[in-house]
Amino acid sequence: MLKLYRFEMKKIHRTTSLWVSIAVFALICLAINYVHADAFLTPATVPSQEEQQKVMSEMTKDEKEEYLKQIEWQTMLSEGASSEQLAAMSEEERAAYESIRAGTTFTYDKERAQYEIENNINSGFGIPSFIENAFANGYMGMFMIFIAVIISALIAKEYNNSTIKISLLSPHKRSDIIISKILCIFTVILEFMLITALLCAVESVIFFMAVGKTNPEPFNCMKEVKFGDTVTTMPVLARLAAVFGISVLSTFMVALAISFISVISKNVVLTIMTPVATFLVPMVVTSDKITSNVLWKYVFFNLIDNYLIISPTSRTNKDLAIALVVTVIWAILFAVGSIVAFEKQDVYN
Amino acid sequence: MSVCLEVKNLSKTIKGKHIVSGVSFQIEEGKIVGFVGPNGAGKTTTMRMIMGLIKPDSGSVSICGYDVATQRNKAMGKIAGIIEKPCFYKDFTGRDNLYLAADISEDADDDYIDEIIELLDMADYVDNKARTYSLGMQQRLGIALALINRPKILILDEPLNGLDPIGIRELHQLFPKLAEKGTSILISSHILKEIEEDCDECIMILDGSTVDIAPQEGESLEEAFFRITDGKGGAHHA
Repeated sequence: MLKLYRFEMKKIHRTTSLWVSIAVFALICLAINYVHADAFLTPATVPSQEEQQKVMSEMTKDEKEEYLKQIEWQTMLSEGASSEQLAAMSEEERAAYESIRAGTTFTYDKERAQYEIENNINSGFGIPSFIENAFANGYMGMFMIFIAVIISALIAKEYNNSTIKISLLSPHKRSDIIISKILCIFTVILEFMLITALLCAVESVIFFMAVGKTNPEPFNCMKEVKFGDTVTTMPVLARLAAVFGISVLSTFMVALAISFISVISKNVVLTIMTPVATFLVPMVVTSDKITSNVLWKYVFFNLIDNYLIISPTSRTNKDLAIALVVTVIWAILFAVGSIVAFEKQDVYN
Repeated sequence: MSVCLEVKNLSKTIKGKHIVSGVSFQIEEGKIVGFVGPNGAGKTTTMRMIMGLIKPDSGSVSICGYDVATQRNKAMGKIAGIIEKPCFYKDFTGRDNLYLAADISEDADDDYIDEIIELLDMADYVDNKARTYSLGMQQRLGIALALINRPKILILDEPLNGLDPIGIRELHQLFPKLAEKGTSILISSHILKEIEEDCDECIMILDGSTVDIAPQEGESLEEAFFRITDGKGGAHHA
């Protein structure tokens, strides 16, 4: 199988068009990430009274209370808190307020801060958190899906080009042939993710140096910082490794699903359109902009995102253990399905 | 002489239609055997089953004693060929294609690759991208790729298609050379004259079954073919 694996790796590394298209898409995602990251260092703008009224008009009583608390936080952060307001804060809220005002982050996300308090983390906004943010936001998520689809669809392309016969007519078992393809897909995904992480690290340095919104200590998340509890370097790097590992795992799981579709359909167009129809379309249809927030949050994220794929975003962290187990199970099912289908199929292409 | 290909009672039904039914034949080492039949007779399907691309509904294929169904990797090490059209990676050069194929073969090395390039007279264009090749060059690359594994039996589905007279003549010269080295060749073709010239024997398939095409005295292969098929692609019923 080593011969087959080297054969697949050589083929894919020499496919220039693949690397060019991925590079272009990666640059677009990195550019969006750069702009998106800049928003994190922009002081939160307090909505006008008119905007607040418009938003609250569709809220329940509890939602309005929550929203007004957030407005109060945003106002304090951008204009500074009065001594009475500071005295009324809990120790954790005071620490969050001070770190935000000190320039660590400028946007206060109460839910995220609560999670970080509960889990003893202060990610700050240094280089590791820049990379983590890159892998956790939706743009890189799309990039990962794109990589998974485009690499796995190469299997379907081999059927269309009839080059699948080159492997089938070699002196190797069919199961070895498909397993070597799967191993190659995993290796290439890991390569892309590592390159992307490296590019994000470089991007973060450029960002901190060039944008002008300086973070005087880009590695400050590694310092001892009071945020309820103190943290040290290892938990931060462990969190980064966890996010990176989850990204690789989820991308690989999606790639295995696409590979399975490739083997069954033997058609590139069908292989690419299936994830578009089953993932992208529901994602767009259930987004806030088109339907209600309930559908987006509960149907898409809680159901599809947690039980079909996993996401490194903080939204799924509460169900992360379940999502991880489910992802591994799906990965095994798709891999076995691909092997069985490839073993049994007749190839007429 | 030992048997390098044995086909026993192969049958295949596709979408309810019996494409191949009870096909049996043997090919001995070093023989060039023609495989003829009208369009839709089941030649390509039989060849696909021999090469393990499709699974027969019943029957068996043995290559140099190895059963294709149960000892696939050993059997595939002894056979190679071109079915319908040659397969190669168009974005790579001919040479790169050969090196890639050598990577997954059992015992091909650089010297052997050079030997194949010389044998098939590909030196002038082997370092060009395969997508720039003419039909004849593609056929030669396909045959070169098939030879990488030093097969005991070569299956060629209409290899003369698209070749100019020079290319056809070169293949006519190549087949005996390969046979002398012990490689058996099964060639399917519609050009019966070529089959008659190149081949030691001929197998005919008609409506999915093999029939005896031994020409009668004074009869050419083509005449025998038309006699059996009644000139209409169907069997002659006396």
